[in-house]
Amino acid sequence: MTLASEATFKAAAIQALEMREGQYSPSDLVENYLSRIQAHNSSIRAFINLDEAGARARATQLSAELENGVVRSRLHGTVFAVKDQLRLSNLPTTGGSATKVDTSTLPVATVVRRLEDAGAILVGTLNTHEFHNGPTRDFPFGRPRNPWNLAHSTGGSSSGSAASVSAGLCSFSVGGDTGGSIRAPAANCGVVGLKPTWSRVSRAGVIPLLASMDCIGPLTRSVEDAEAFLEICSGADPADRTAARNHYVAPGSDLQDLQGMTIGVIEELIAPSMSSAEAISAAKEAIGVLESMGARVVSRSIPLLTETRYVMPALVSSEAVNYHADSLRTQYDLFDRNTRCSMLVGALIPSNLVKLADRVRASLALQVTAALSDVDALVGPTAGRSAPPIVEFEPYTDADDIRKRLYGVGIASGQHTRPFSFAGVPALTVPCGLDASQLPLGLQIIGKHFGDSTVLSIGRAFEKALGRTFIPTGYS
Amino acid sequence: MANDELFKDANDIESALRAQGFRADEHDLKEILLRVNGLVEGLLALQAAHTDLPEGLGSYNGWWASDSGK
Repeated sequence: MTLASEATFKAAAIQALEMREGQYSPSDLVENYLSRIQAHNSSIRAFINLDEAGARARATQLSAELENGVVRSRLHGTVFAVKDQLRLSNLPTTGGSATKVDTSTLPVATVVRRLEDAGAILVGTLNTHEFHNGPTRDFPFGRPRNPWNLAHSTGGSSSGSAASVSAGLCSFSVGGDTGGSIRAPAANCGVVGLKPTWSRVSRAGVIPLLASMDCIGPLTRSVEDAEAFLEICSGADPADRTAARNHYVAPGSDLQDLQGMTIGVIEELIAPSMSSAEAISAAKEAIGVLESMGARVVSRSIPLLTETRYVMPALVSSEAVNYHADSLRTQYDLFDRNTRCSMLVGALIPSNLVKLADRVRASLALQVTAALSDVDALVGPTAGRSAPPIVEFEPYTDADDIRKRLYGVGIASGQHTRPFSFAGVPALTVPCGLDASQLPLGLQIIGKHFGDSTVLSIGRAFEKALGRTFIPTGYS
Repeated sequence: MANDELFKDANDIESALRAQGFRADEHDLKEILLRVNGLVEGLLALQAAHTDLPEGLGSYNGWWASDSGK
């Protein structure tokens, strides 16, 4: 018999299995996580709002269903939380902002509805960079901190989504990813993060950042859990006309090896100018694991990769300023300084340059597609380094300073993830090691459009071959 | 503002924002000036370096316009 507390860091699918076997109940699991949230949230600031009564009531119902042999899905009875970007029926949506957010035009998020219908239990909302447009300087609900080292950032923008899973405060979480906002914090916090193929998961009920790139996806403790999420949440949605019609169906069995597969290593991402020596070393070791499983490893290039530095802010600011225009006019002082400065740039940049940015984006997407054309997947470090230390923001001083710090190329630039958002292809991060500071590093696996199953299969095989768990000290 | 012009100073930024019903405090105006000029310079440099770019997602027959897999 396993106690729910002993299952804290187990994968959600394992927890569900143990609950089906009667080892503990959904109510036990909810109580375990609520007590852990109580103990740890004041230091890591992962959660914004909790629905304790709702979670308990739901757990009672789902426990009774299990006792009667009713199993809704392979996540029945597991406990999840949601980035505060999605409209819910039972909790307010803040967008991580002190402004008063009007979500009245949004439906309740389809993703949350589907997870609840599948028997997962929503426990609360999770901290995020304001309107998913970081880096936020002053977090109105407290600064999220990395469970591996509280002096370090979680990364963002799905900060609470990564910290909550890493610290064992829920079974899995939901995040949003426009240019890396699931993958980067997941890598920083030592958890699995999936940005599905764009449109694969409905965005109904989601506060947008850049609609043509926004994706909703899971942060989990195993690749299998990410796959379970996709099975439950993918498919057509009348509330989101952009949602792809085809429903994700997991392959019937795991890959035993990677024989016959070709993996392309993105050479720009393992260059010393883009990634730290430790991130490169960890990625190369991970690639060695893939090779030892029979994969043929080749080199691939995405020459425009670094150009996302100007393209992303041009596209995001021009779209975000329109969505938030009324609030920027009436609640200016309540916005974080980074958010409002970033968005107001969108009101000033000439439209021809936004169009140019769009053309560079299309060109980059074509390069990603070309790099994928004759391989099964691309790989590289998810980020150029482990989670950076939290430091006080120093105002930009001049043109050179802003060129380096805001539009710079290199290790801390976030350009490891954006190209694959531009191309709309699926990208998964899986923890692959720790650096000398005992902070996690991630391997990013990128697939073709609607090649989510290939990415997940490679991720599962890698995870199994690596055979390591990533649990920060002080939380077990 | 013409495409190849930079904003001159914070007053220039303030006027352009005010014309659209926005405002910003003095601190923000300085930061926005650096941000927008840096972005315009960067995009113009990109334009000069790449003369063979496709027409953008509006006509790009890739994932955005494609119905494949749906």
